Amino acid sequence: MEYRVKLEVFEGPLDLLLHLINKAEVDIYDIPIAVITEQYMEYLWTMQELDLNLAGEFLVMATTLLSIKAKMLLPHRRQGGEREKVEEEIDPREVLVARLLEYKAFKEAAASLRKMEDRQSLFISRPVEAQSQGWQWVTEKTLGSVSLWELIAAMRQVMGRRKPEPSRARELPRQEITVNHQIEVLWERLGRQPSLSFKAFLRDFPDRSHMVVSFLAILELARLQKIMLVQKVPFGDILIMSLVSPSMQAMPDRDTA
Amino acid sequence: MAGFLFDEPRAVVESLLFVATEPLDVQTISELVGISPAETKAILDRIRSELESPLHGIQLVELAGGFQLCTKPGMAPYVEKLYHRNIPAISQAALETLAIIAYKQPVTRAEIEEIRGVKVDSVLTTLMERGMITEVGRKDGPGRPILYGTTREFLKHFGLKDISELPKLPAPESTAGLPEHILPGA
Repeated sequence: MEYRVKLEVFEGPLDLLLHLINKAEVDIYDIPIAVITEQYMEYLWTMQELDLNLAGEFLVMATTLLSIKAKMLLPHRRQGGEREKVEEEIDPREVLVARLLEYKAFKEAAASLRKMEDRQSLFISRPVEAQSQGWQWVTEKTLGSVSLWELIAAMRQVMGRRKPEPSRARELPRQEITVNHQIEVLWERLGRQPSLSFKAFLRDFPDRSHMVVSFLAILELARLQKIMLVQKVPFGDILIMSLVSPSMQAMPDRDTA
Repeated sequence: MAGFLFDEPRAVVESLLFVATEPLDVQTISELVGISPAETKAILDRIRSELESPLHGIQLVELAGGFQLCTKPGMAPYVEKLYHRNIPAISQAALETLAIIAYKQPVTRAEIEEIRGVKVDSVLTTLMERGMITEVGRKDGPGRPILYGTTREFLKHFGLKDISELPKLPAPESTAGLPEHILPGA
């Protein structure tokens, strides 16, 4: 997976090609394919020498360039019949040019998004954290149910706050935490209050393993439709709400679900 | 809501805008205040024009389908002495991917990769985590691939009222003139 990280620096073969075309100041509709191919290959060698893992896409593009170059070297058969003539008129570069132009359009769109982002960053509105001061968003404009992504993001935030436990050489007594046990803990808490903050609930636990198991307990109860997870605002805290009254009903049985 | 009608609606609207961390839409405000949407709109317009005075450091903007108070651009250097942003910038790769999704939505991962010429799975994950994009459905066809689209968070981040406010895509003039069979993805 290493190369994906590197790839973000290079943006991929189309980006490299555009860069070369711009640098050479040539017409994108009439790319001097031999020259550009040579330069492209040089970049590839250098990237290899620098020990950057080249993604397969760069090599695929190299093959494409070489095959276009080869086609362009073939003599044009002008004396052919009408049908062949039509085929001849297709420039081997056309497909590549179309892809480059489309990519270029989106690259420019990305640049204008960046400008809009910069401009918008000057308009500062009330930071979302202001909400955590004991206030809860109540308008009905909820985001509704929470996606797994939002749960994971919230989980990352909670775990991120905690420093990794220092490793100690001495042996610690192994503590068994089970999902079932954490379900009981959560269920008991929901019996006392109708809703619970996701972050506050998880933050109470002493270590990562407790948090992870508790997280799984939340997922399990959500799967069993015993609880509902609601996020009122993007990136806001997630509320755990019981869908059935825990005090009125026994612990949900996982096996019968 | 009836009990609140003793209060000046304009003041109520202002107080809601003041505490809101999210753009509030006309419908929501009118329900909360107990006035008609038309009246709400008129009040919003009035607040907006009053805040335009250079004596005010805040303004009312229309964003992501709602209204929100925010500081005027010139105030940013001062505000940033008080608060500073700690959200990492969106990478170039992520921004290009986002641009493709914004203009082509709903769009599949394969379609994005076709345009960018690289794999985009890790970038998509990042964009999902930041709430900029979301799964909007599945495309008919083999494998029923996931379709992606932009979110309200995207509109807010880029200061858009709605998606139609996106600037026109720089026309890929040439592609229009090219024969159908060589168009990308054809």
